[in-house]
Amino acid sequence: MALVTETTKDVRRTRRKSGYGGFLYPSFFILAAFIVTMLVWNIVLSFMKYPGFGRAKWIGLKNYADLFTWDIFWESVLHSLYYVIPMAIIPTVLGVFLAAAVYDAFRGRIGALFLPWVRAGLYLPQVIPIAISGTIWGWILSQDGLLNQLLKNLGANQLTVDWLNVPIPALASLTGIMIWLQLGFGFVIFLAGLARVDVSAIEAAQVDGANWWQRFINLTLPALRPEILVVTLITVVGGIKVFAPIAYITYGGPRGSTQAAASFGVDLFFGGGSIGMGSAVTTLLAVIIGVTVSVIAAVFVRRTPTERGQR
Amino acid sequence: MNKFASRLPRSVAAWLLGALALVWVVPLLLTINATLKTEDEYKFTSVLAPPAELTFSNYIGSWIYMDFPSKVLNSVIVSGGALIVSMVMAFFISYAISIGKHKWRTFVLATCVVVFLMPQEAFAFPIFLVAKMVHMYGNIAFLILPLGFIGAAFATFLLGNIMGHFPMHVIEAAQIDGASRWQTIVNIVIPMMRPSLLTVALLLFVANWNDYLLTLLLLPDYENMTVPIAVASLNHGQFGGPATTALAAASILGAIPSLIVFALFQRSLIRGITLGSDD
Repeated sequence: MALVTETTKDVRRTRRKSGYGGFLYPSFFILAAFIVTMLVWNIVLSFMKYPGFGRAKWIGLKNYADLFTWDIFWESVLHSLYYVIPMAIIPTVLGVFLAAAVYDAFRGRIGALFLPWVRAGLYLPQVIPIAISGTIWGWILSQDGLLNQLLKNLGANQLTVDWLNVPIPALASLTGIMIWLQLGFGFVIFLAGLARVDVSAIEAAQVDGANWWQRFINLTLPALRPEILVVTLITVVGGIKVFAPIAYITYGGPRGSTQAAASFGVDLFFGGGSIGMGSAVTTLLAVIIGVTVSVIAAVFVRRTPTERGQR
Repeated sequence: MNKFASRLPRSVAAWLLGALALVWVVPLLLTINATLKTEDEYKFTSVLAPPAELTFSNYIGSWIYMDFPSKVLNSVIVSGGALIVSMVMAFFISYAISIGKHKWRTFVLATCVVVFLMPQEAFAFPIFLVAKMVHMYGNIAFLILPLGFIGAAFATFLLGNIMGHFPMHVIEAAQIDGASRWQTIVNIVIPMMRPSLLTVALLLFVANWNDYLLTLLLLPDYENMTVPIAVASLNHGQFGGPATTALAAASILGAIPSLIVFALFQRSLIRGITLGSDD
C-alpha cells in the first residue's frame, strides 16, 4: 500500500552497488516471462476462432467487431462501470468519514476498548473467502432465505421478493453486498493513516474555533491524501474488474441483468464455448483498466506538487 | 449545526459506529442462529428467535457430506505451496532492489503494481490452456505455480518497500567485518526482517486461501477443490437440492478457518494491509 509513500529519495542518496543482479534476475525473469506470456497469449487468443477443441483459426478483429455489435456486451461493460459506485466510491467516501469520526470519538479510554471491535466488524467481510460469503448471501436472499423469512416475521409479506431472480432487486442486492464487502478495506487504511496526524494541530484548530467540518476539510483530508490515492486506485480498479460477487451470487443473472465484463468474459470462455470472444472481453477489460490507472495517477500526480508544501 | 459539529458528542458517535459494526455482522449472526435449528424449526419459527435446543446436525451433516477435512487439506497445500513460491521469489527480488539498490528498482516495483492491478481474468485463460496441454488440469499441484507467481508480485511490492527502510549501516558493518552476501542475508537481513516477512506471509496465505478465480477454473473435480470452492459448488446445485439450512451450515463451517485466522492474527493482518503507509 506504500505506492505513494515509497521513498525513492532514500534509495538515490545511497550509492548504487553492483553485483546484486544474481539475486534479482532469476526470480524477476520468471515472474515477468510468466505474466507477459500469459497476457500476450490471451491477446492472441482474442484474434482466433477457437471453440476449445480442434484447430484455432486466425480471424483478425472479428471477435471484437462481433462484440461491439452485441448488446449484452455493452450492458456488461455498463454494469462494470456502475459497480465502481458500490465497490469504490461509496466505501471510500464513507470510509474516510467513518475513520475521521472514529478518530475524533474514540481518542482516549473508551476507544481502546471499543475500537478493535468496530474495526473487526467492518473488516470481517474482507477476511471471509468471497466464494463462501457469496454462498451465505445467496442463501439469505433466496426465496425461503433469511431475509424473506425475517420480512414475514415482521408482517411485511408484501415486501418479500425472490431477490436474486428479479432484475432490479438482484442488482440492488449486489450493490448492498459490494458496499458490505468493501467498506472495511478503506476504513482500516484511513484509520492507520490518521494515527500519523499531529494531534496538537487538531487541538490548536479546535481552540481557534474551527468546527468539525472545517477540521475535516483542512486537516484530515490533506493528511490522508496518500491513503486516499491508494484506496481509490485499488477500489476503482476492483470495481471495474469485479468478478467474484457476480460469479458466486447471481451468476450474472437474471437474464444478464447483473452481468459484469469480467464475469461475462469468463462465461463466454467456459459456458459459451467461444474462447476467442472471452479472451477479447478480458483483453478489453485490461485495456480499460490500464487507461483508468493512468488517468487516476495523472490526476493525483498533477495536483501533488502544490499540496506537498502543506504536509 | 456548527455548534453541534464542532465537537461530535463522543457517546453518540460511539453508539452509531457500534451499531454500524453490528449491522455488518448481523447477517452472519442470524445465519449462524438459523444453522443451529432444524430445517422445520427454521421454517416455522422467527429468524430472531434462538434455537429451542441447539442442533448441531446441520454441521455434523455438512462436515461428513463435504468431506471437510480433505478440503481443508487441499486448501492448506495450495495456499502453503503458493506462499513458499511467492516468498522465495519476492525475498530475493526485494533484497536486490532495496538493499542492493539495483537500478531496476522502480521498474520492478512498477511491474508488480501492474500485475497486482491487472484483472486476473486477462491471463487466467492461457493458464487454463497450459494446464490442459500438460495434462495437469484438475491437479492441485499445478495451481501452486501460477498462484505463487501472482502472489510474488504482490509480496515484492510490499517487501520491496519495507526493505527500502532497512538500516544500511548494519549491513555495511557486516561487510567491513568480511561477511559474505549470503552470510548477511542469513544472519542479518532475515532475522531483522522477520516480523515483516511473517506479516507478508500471512497476507499471502489468506489471499491464496480466499482465491476465487484460478481455483475455480483449474479444479473441476470436487475431490480436489479448496474449501471456498467446495462450499460454493454445493450452491451450484451440483449435488441437487434447494438452498437449505444445511447449505448455510456448510458455508459457516467453511468460513471458520478464516475466522480463526482473523481472530488470532487480527493485528498482523491489519498492520499488513497498511504496511508501508506509516513510514
